[in-house]
Amino acid sequence: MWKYILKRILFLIPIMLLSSFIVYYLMSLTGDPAQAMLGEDATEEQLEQLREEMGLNDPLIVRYGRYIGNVVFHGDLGTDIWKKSVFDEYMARLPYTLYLACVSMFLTALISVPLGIIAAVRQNKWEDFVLSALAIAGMSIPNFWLGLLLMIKFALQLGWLPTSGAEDGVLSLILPAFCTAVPNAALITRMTRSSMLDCIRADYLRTARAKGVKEGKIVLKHALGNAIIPILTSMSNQFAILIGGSVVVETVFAWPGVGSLIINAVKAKNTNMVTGGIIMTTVFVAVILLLVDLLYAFLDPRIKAQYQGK
Amino acid sequence: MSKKTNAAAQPGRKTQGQLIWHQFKKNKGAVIGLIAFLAIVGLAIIALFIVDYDTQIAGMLIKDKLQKPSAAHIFGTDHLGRDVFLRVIYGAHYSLLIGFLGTGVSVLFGTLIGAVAGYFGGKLEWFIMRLVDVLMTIPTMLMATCVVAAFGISITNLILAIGISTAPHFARTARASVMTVRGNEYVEAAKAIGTNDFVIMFKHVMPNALSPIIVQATNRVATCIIAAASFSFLGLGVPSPLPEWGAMLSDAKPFMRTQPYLMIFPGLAIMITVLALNLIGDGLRDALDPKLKR
Repeated sequence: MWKYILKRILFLIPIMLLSSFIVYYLMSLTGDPAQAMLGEDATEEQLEQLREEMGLNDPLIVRYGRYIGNVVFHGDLGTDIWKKSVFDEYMARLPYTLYLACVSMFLTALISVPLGIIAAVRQNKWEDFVLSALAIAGMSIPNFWLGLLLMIKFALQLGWLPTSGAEDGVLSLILPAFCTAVPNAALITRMTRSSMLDCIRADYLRTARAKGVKEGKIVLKHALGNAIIPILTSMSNQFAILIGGSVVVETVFAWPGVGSLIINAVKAKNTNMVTGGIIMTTVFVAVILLLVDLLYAFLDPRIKAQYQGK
Repeated sequence: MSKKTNAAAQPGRKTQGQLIWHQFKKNKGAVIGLIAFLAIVGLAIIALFIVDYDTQIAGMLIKDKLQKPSAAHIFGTDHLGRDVFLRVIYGAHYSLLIGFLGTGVSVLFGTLIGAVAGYFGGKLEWFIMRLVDVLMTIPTMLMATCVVAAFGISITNLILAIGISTAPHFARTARASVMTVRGNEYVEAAKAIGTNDFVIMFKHVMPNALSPIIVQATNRVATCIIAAASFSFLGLGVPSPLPEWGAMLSDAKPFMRTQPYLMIFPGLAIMITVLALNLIGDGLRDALDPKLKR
């Protein structure tokens, strides 16, 4: 088992190095950082001097090596255009994104799993049609637009909730968490429904019914117990996407997470911040997905058996 | 009458297209989606003829600004006095163009490298699929942000950004699909008579491996349209004077307190288009792959 875990962790290292190199390379195309720092009216000599100081004249691979060396050994992602530490800034924002992602995921599970079960149990009845229609509508609604509409209603017109920022604690969180949860909940409702339908038809449930097990117990224990694995898989993927991708909702609600940090950095041409932010998020997401995978290895007897006694 | 004679001449024989259409028709949601989608395309085409781009879309008619929806302007007018209804139907061009071209780029590159990996196998496959793994670790939205940041803000770059960031997903689907087809007898037969590998791949393997790719692509167009609108809304996509739906929402944001109706119609347009495409995608999935049918 430990061999499997070690293998997975070691395998992650080259993948992370390559993906961060791709990001680094793409961001190196954005333009000359020396020019960005000194502005339009810098002379050629000043630019050349700064480029030499910053090591910008070295080949790309050397610059990347130096960059990643600093990240790995010193936790240093360089400084942004305002001379602030990118790493510190990122770490200050990360808890907000994690907080939003956790609450949003919790809401998703709370809404979608019961609805998916109802749709499956009442397959082809009116409940199923209504829920399926709602689910496909929920999948199609752009979450930032939903956010804007809810902001108009609950923040501007009714004044119940703050429009943006994170100063009001839980109240500030309600709208962004709900907006990011709706499309995910729609997807998981569909997923739960189809996963449950697979299980409801299985032979062991017929056996359980024949034995006289109560219908509620059949659905919740025997069917859901087996249907839950694929549901958890897609939830963990969505969690990873939330961490990397709630950029738009974070920006709409001025939620001080890493998504809005990256988008504002792109707009301000704050290249170091964008590079550092994207690389950090990529690593973070990869680590979370790896942890989920390892968790499965513990839960799934098949993977466990493969590595037993080796 | 003529139908009957045809059926009598070839009892039970239908082309693959007819079979798919027959299955697709059974799904009411999918048919509604298809009608809605055709209506949107139709409106977009009509808009080309009835709208004068320079005055009604990009112009300024300050005396008419910020009017509530009325008989003259059914969706109202925006802060520069332009008719929102005309801008919304004209804006369909951008969303559809970016959605379809972005997905096109993605399908083209993704499917090609995935199919090569799945067909040839061995070291080449290992190499390609590890590269796909690497690309997939970068979250899609951030990858697209990275491409936009690197190449600058424009419609072409937005299409590229969306296309590149989702291509790895198609590579995986294509590889898996090609691998299931690769072992069939007719592929072996083609190899046995000495057919060129590329001819086998494009003529015999790909047509039979396309179903999952088509289904995924339909849903991907829908997500691309949302992504494009998101980027435009953030100011990283289609620039403002153009009536892209996301850009219109961005324009309307300063007026959301006083003119909330400006927020409604562009967003509704996105939602209806995406909903139509998702419904079509569900219908196609059921029609093309009966195994997945629910």
